[in-house]
Amino acid sequence: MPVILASIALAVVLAIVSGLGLFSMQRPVYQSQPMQSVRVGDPGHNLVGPNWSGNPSQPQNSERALNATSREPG
Amino acid sequence: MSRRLGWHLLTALVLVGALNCSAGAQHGQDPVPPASTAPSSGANPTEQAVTEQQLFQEMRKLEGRITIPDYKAALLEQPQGRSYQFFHERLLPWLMGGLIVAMIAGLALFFLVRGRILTEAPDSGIKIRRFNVLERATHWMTATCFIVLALSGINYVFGKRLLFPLIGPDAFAALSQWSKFAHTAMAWPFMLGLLIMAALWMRGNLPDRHDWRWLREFGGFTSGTHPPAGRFNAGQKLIFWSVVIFGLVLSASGIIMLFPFWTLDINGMQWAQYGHASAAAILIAVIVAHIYIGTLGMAGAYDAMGRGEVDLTWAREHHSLWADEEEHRIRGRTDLAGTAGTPAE
Repeated sequence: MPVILASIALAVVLAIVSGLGLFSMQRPVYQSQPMQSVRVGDPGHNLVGPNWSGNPSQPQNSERALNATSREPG
Repeated sequence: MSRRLGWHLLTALVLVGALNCSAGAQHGQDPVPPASTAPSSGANPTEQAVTEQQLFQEMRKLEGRITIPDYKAALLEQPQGRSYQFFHERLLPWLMGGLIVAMIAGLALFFLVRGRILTEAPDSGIKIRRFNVLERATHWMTATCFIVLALSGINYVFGKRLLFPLIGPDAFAALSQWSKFAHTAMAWPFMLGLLIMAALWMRGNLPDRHDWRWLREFGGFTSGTHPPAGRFNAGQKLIFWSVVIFGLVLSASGIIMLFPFWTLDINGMQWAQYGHASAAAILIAVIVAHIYIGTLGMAGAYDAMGRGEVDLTWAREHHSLWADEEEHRIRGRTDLAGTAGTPAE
């Protein structure tokens, strides 16, 4: 039984390591296929941006930048 | 007589003409003028235009021009896509489900007829080493991975048909997402274990002259005797080579799918999917049989891989040639130890 449990643990550890390796090789689409004519090509100023958390209630960089611009005296 | 016939023919022609005019009027159409009086409009501009069907038949695929960098999106239609859809959505569920269900039904029938395979003689109490720690660790690591891979792979095929109606879209989406993570991550230790197992056991699983008799007698099921076998009998060899061959097919096609379009086009990706799913269906059915014979089907079989040791009686009955070798080896070692322990005169 110890060998079985150790083997299961080893399988999980190897899977986590290889999974992390795989995920680190992946890039978001706006990095892997950037385009000038598409708005996701400049995520710092429009759309959700690179630090998007997935929570729509949380203000993002782009929104903060937009709010800051609108507050500037014109 | 001939004048009456002439009148009848004239009346009939007038009636037919009147009916044609009224039918055209009923359909809101003007009566078609005779061809000789129709105004000439030149060539029909769309008469020679190529149709989508003609393009498809000539080029075997429809491609366009796109502005996004992913050039693959320009391929609109390809004939192999329909074959792939037929395979993935219709053939594969029946193939995989049929193989697994048939194997389970066959094993259940075998169990009903044969029952659990027991040793004829009582246990000797003498244990001999069947598998060392490295062999067992490799087996269980690979087995753990295979179970996760098989269950998550089955979810790809049957999840939306069986699980989705039961657990709903949210739970099914979360389950499938984590299944996908597990599938891609567990694939690597599975491939590692497969290579180590192949290196460890390939020599013992090479065919020998006793295999044919074992297969002919179905492991003693038809003859009522135990056919001689070495460390691995012909049934185990079949399972081993199934695991190696289909495992390699799964590994190669899996790597192709893990890095999509790296070396192959859309048709190549479809072929990778054909190979991966078919090999998985066969291997899952084979492993179901392996799990059965290693647990419920044969008494003492689990000890071989669980504890690494088997009783000498079990070894003599199921692997007589290997048991003889082991006995000779142990005796030789004991004699050697006895000789070494005898004080010199």
